[in-house]
Amino acid sequence: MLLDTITEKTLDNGLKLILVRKPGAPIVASQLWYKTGSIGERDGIRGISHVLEHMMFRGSANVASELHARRINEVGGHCNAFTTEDMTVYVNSVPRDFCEMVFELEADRMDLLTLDPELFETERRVIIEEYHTYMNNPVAKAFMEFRQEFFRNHPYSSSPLGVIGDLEQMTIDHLREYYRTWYRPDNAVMVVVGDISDTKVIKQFERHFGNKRLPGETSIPKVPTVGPHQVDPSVHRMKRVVDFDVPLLIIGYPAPSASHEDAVAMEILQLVMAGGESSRLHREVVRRQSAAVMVGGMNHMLNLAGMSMFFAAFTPDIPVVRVERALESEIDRVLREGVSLPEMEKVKHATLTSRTFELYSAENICHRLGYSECVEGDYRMWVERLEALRQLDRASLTEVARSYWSDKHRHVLHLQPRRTNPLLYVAGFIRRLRVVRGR
Amino acid sequence: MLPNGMRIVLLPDHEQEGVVIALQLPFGRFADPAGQEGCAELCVGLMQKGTESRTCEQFSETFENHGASLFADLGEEHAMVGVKMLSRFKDELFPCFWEMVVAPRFDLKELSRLKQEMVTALRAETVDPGSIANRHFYHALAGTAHPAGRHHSVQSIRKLNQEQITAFYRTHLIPDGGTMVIAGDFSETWFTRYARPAVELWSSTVSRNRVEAAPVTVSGTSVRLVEKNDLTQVSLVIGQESPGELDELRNPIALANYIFGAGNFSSRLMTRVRSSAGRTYGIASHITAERRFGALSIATATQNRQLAEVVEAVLSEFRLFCEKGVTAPELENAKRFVIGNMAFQLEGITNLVEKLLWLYFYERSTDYIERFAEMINSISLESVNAAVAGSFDPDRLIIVGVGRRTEIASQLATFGLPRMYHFKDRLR
Repeated sequence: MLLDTITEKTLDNGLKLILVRKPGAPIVASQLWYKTGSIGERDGIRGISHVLEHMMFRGSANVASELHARRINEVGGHCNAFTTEDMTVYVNSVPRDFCEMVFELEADRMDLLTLDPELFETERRVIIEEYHTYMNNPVAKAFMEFRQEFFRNHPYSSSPLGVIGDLEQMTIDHLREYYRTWYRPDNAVMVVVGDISDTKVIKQFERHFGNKRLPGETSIPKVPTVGPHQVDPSVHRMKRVVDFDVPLLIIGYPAPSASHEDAVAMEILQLVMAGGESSRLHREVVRRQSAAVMVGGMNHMLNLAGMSMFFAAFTPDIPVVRVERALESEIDRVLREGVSLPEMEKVKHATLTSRTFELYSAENICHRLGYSECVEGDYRMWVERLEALRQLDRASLTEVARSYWSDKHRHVLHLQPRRTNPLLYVAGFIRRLRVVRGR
Repeated sequence: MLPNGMRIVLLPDHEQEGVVIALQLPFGRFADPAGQEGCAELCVGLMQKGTESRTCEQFSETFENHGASLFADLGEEHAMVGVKMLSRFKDELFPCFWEMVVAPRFDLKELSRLKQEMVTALRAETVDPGSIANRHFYHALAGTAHPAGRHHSVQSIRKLNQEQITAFYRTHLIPDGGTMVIAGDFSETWFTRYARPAVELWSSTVSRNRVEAAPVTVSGTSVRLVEKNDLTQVSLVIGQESPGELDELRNPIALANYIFGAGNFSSRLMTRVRSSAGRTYGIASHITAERRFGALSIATATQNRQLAEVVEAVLSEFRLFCEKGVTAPELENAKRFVIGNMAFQLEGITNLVEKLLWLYFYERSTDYIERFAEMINSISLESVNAAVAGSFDPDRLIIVGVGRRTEIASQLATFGLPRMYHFKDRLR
């Protein structure tokens, strides 16, 4: 059904448009996906994809600095952008009559970005503030270190946030070179969803993007090609003592890439393990064993590889070994016994419900199709996954679980709360009391 | 309107095969009895942990086996519980949802588990200096004699017992004043046949005692320093009282606030502190508007050494805003934004349900959405500026900074002698 409402058009310069007609939608959602992210970076310029994402709002030939956002706001819409390991995405959502304005604004910054050195200095400060906001969160910081270790020697070891030294040293010339290299029509996909006429929108699209030229003879650089995630044949452990009062345990396993045939099975396995209060981990680890207060899990699947994660938050009186054993034993149970029929049914219903509700929103459809096209390899994957889900059998699920959730490849992060010296706390309390009384 | 005082709103929409059912009642966190902070949250949470005929596990299984999900939203003066599901399961799931409303189990073991969850969530919140600053702001703004100034704490949650939760439920979970919206793939016949009889049977001998917090007034500038020494960036909240949602100044104030700090990159605060000076990743002003109580709060974060510069910039923008108001072109842009943005609030059944509940809760007229553009366009520049001048005062502000004491104390002291706290202090 959804596929019948989609039209695609690729311009001579390679820029692809995926257009979805959603009758009755009061808004038009659009996303422009550039196929570059931290994976396209090298040492010395770590974080440049994200820096460029910021600079894309700082003016182009016909659009002054910050005017992009203001023009979108003036019609009641909103815009934003995000950078991942593989992609940089520009999001514009507007009331239904303003689709062409989005094309006009995006086209201008596709090849006519100003990259003003003075504005870059200001924006560098903003990005460093963003970096500090992230690093002031001890859990986020520890997780970033864990991720780095998990993807050691892999292009994903560097986070899109970058490296502070590189952010401080980066020059406008680095940005210009990066922009010329990656921001080209044949490395981008535009997705538009709304109550729109195909013919009219395609004409507008051609008018605004048809004249975008490819940069001479150069081709898009190849991103590193790597095989399956390589890890040492031992369990990797990391422990961090943090200023955070809730002990946390995170277990990560290498997972397939988003486009891999095992990706659907991995999603189902995650839902069986951690999807809701009737999931295995919640039932067993939280309710029956009281080994944790909260549990969860997710798959972070990217273009080249992924991470399948489980986590537990527990109270300081519970030994971390007990929590780890409880999680492990449930993971092992899936490897031994597989998934039951009622669990398969439950997951199918959950997926169908979640898909049904996503279809109410033009923004959700837009994002899902952009992700499927650029990360999974084809926008049709989003639709076809439902079919793949229906056809999966229990035996193949168990097999997939065994291939990835292996003891040998397990990475463990334990966040242990820092113990405050009670005497220091009392001293601080007395000091504060004095200040208050002195007023 | 049903005889038991409940309003029913039906919105059949067959675009997809989903149904949303949401029940909103006029109580929220402000209804927590003094000393029993956390009661409303525990009550709404515990309702979702089993019913008279289903244990907690059976209850969650009933929904999750059908792919349905329960949701809840506890505000300061309203509470909402709901369910999202595929329409083909509504016959099986509505009775279970309704049993949760009228006959929750309130199991002792589940209460203890939920309390532990809330305590853990509270402890986890200390990782977010923005939340700590916000708690202190409301504590300073309203004081502990006012519900906005009281927050649940580890201690208050631990003290709560089953009797208190049950008593809270009996007082506030009553049909009078409630609104139930059903939207999506269903028919009125289905409602009449399957849902209405159960809903009509809901009754209570208790009459609704609506808890509405009174407006507050900040008496003068006060400064708080909340010590959290692991931070390289200080989190700031600056603000004062503001008109509530039912105040006639609410719409002019909302337009003015968009211009001042709520309009993202179109706002004055963002332009000055982020776009021109690069001193923050984000800054925004937010108006919390309950029925009568309201507050304006400006939130941002900046590296410790820049604290004084950022506070100075915010204060000078606020003074300019209070004294000179907004300009005609700024107001035109703000109007275009709020009128255009209504389209987003009406997309999909989930947004529609939320909007409808908002309209009924704040007693808006039934043609509010149709007349929205006309109403916004009729607001004059003079009325906006008069509303700003009459509602805000740059000489009475609460300033809260959460950060490393040694680096921010002297900077904060330039705005007033700071009252010192530690981020783990209980706010009494």
